[in-house]
Amino acid sequence: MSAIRTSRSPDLERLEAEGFRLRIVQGSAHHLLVAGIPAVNSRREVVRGTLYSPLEIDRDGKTVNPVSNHQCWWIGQEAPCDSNGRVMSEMISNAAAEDKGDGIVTSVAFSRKRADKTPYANLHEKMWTYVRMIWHEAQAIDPACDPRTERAVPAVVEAQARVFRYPDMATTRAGIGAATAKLLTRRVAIIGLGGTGSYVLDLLAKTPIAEIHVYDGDDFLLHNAFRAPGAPHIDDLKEPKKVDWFGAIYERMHMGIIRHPYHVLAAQLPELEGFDFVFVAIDDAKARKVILEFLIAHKVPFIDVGMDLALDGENRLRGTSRVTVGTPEYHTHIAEVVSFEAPPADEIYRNIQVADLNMLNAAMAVNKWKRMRGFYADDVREHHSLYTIATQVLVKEDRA
Amino acid sequence: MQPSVETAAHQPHEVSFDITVNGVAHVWHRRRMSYDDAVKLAFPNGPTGGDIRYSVSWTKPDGQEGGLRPGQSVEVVDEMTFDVRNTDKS
Repeated sequence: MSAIRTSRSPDLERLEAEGFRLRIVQGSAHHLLVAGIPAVNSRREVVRGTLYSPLEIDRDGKTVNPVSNHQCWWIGQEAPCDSNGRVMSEMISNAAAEDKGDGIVTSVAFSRKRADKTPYANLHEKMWTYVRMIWHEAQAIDPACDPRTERAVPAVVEAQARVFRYPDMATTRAGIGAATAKLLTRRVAIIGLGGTGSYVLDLLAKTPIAEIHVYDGDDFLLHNAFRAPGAPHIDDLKEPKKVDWFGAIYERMHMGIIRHPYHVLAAQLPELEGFDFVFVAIDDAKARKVILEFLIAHKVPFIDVGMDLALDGENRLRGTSRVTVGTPEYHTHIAEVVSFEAPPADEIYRNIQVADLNMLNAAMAVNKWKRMRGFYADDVREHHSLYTIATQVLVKEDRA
Repeated sequence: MQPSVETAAHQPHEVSFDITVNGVAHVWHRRRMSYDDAVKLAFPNGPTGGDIRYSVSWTKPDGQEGGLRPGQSVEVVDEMTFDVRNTDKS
């Protein structure tokens, strides 16, 4: 993802050439700000404010037209008033401040559609519609005021550190930049790229974590294809390392996938010290014990996942998905709820896993991490949950 | 709703609940089920103890649900369902 150039988008280029002061912010979401718009305040003075619009662009950094979001927001001391000093409430859809993320807080939301209710053809038409309404009132007081500078000024483009190879338009279109920004994280590890770990990677690769370190020493085998996201071609099944198989896929989107083609054993534990968060998705109970004990001792927060499925007497599967959180503040429950000893492998303890339960286990874990970060609301604040398929029971324990 | 429970205080040996554990029907003759009880019903031959932990969840016909941890127990009712699993696979 490269910095946006207005020259790629005729609507932005035209606004810029007309003398509008454009600021483009490429952060957790993409934003367009037009500063210096003359507006009337409640004391009938002409003041300047900024118009805000989400900025939807395509993979090449060109604006997407017609414009999917008809709304604009205002950043200013007061809501714009008419020339009598009365707030223009007929165009205001929300009079409260909204956090758009990336340090942008709006004061008032506008909603003004085209008369025929069709979308604005482009950002030039959309921004001008809002500019005209606000400026028109200011002109009644000061006919000389103008939102445009006399000479064109180049748009200011602020591109934050890149995580994705192309812009995150899901966040921009949804208008949840402020929530997504809470997921900004420096370094996260996924230990184990089995069925569950690969789905954890699938979900984390779509979040603004700077570095996602993946640890697994195993090869990607035929059976793994049936318990992993995506659909490998038969020619792909040449037993690559799991970290190489998944690394190559997710590097297409996320720039910080870092491969570690080995299992985490005692010798590798020091590598875990610098992580902001660790997802543990492994089968080996003994390894789980040393890893979790190390993470607790070194105050690294983590989520440990695990599932179990078995056939009942009628060849139907029953099973449970477990998600357990450990933090520096809350971890004494771990020894009570996580198995640190492997039962002997026999008929009862066959390793049965199915893609949708791997996926669910991973989704529960990533969802919990997002709740811990404040992306989602987290009223329950549990540190251990169990979901059981047959009964649809959802146990939520260790609330703190 | 549960006449057997009403009489249980006077005739404890008469208590009888139809329950299932991991999909298998059992008749349970006590008024409470502990974590150890549930594990033993699910896996009579173990393994238990040491660092082995099972994930136990239960639900009652009225929709109540919960978990059981080592040292905990829950009141048993008819048609109660327990699932006891070793949630250690990824």
